[in-house]
Amino acid sequence: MSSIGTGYDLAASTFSPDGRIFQVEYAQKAVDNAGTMIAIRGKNGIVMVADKVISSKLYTDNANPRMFNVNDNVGVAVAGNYPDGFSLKNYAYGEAMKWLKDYREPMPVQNIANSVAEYIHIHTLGISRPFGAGAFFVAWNKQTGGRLFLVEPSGLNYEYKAWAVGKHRQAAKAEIEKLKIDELDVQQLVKEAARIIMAVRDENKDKNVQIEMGWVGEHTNGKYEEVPEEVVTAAEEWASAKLDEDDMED
Amino acid sequence: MSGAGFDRHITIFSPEGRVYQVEYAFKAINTTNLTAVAVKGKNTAVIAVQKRVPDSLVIRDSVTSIYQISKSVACCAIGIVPDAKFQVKRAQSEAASFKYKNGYDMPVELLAKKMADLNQYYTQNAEMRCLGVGLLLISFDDEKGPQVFRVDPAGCFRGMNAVALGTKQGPATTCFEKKIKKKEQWESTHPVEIAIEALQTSLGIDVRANDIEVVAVTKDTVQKLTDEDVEQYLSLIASRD
Repeated sequence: MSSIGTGYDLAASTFSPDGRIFQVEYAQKAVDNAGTMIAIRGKNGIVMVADKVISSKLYTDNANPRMFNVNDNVGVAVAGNYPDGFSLKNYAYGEAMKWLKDYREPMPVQNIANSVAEYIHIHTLGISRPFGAGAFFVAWNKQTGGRLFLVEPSGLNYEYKAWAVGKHRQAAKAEIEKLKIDELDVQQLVKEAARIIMAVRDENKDKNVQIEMGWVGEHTNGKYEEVPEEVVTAAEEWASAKLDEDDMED
Repeated sequence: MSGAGFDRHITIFSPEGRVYQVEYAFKAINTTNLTAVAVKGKNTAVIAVQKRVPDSLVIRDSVTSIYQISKSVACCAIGIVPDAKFQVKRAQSEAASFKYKNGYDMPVELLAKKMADLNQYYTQNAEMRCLGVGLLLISFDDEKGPQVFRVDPAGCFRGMNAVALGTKQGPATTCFEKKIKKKEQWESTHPVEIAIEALQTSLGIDVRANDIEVVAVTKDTVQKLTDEDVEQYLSLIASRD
């Protein structure tokens, strides 16, 4: 039972002899090898952070964002292959618009996540190639509190308290589990999340990286927003200082 | 002995008359390492399935193998999770469509037949693969009483008195075969108890209430048992031993 498909990995319409679909597993690798992204649900809000690679100094600031609004209340962060992720974002946007037209109220985050998961799943049946991207969906409202969903390239869709995807996900998850996230409010979450992303970076390999953040919570009145630049910069400075302090203690 | 061509890659026949891709789809049912059992009693049909939450950061309620298809039909779908959700959605759609067109709830036998026919379609066409999911459907039929049906990726469907699906289906089936031989005891024990006991025996470990999900269908209700209810049955079984 090897991990190499050899012949059974050419199409998503083929099972391997042990019942695996290699094309879907390879699509998952596209997300696993991309920039780290974490999402954490705290006491009164949710924060998402992405470690973006800036491939050229000629790009304008905030070019190719990874986080978007699906509707006023729901935010999405796409991980993995960028064009595939962008396509997923557009699908989510379309579904949310249809729901609004049909029901005259905003589409709830769980329905958006389920809808996108079904769409992703259809692409794992062999008709076309799977999506090499996954997405976090987040929302917060007074009745339900914060809700965070992750949809993976296999179509798997679970709700999480916090999660990390991408290159340094194992290390990031370990850091998240050290925190008592239920007690952290959004302002503290933003700082801790920045610290985690910076802590798990590999100085030799991760060059030209930039942090992108989005949040939703009581303080935004349940509206998903990009975190303002000053807050991001302040969080990064706090994080740098904290990491230096921790380094000196070691 | 296999041909030199694509018989292992797409749903075509091999020289010995096997369809390898369908056989591999059956293997996919075991990829999540779960076992499910279903039992039919005099007034109740029951499904009991293992529950495994992949990580402590995952919200428990978002992980489940049990779904309600219609007012009177519940099901357990194990195998590749997104394929399972796809089948469940289709089953719900078929049941609702039948109710709309015919004015009464779709009998579970017809639903099982429909899902089986869909599975067979995938085995005969190259463009889409089979779904790596096994389905257990339970219902209380107005004419026939409690019913249990098993649908597999090959397109085969069968009504069963008791059935097991998943990694430990062998040991669980043996457990059922032994029990059903003692007819009087089988008929006097509650199907929930039989189901949970078979699951426990086949898994070989002491099962706790939050490690399994149980759903029971009677004449008027489709009910997912709470942890307390399951705990009661577990103590009952333990006290008998």
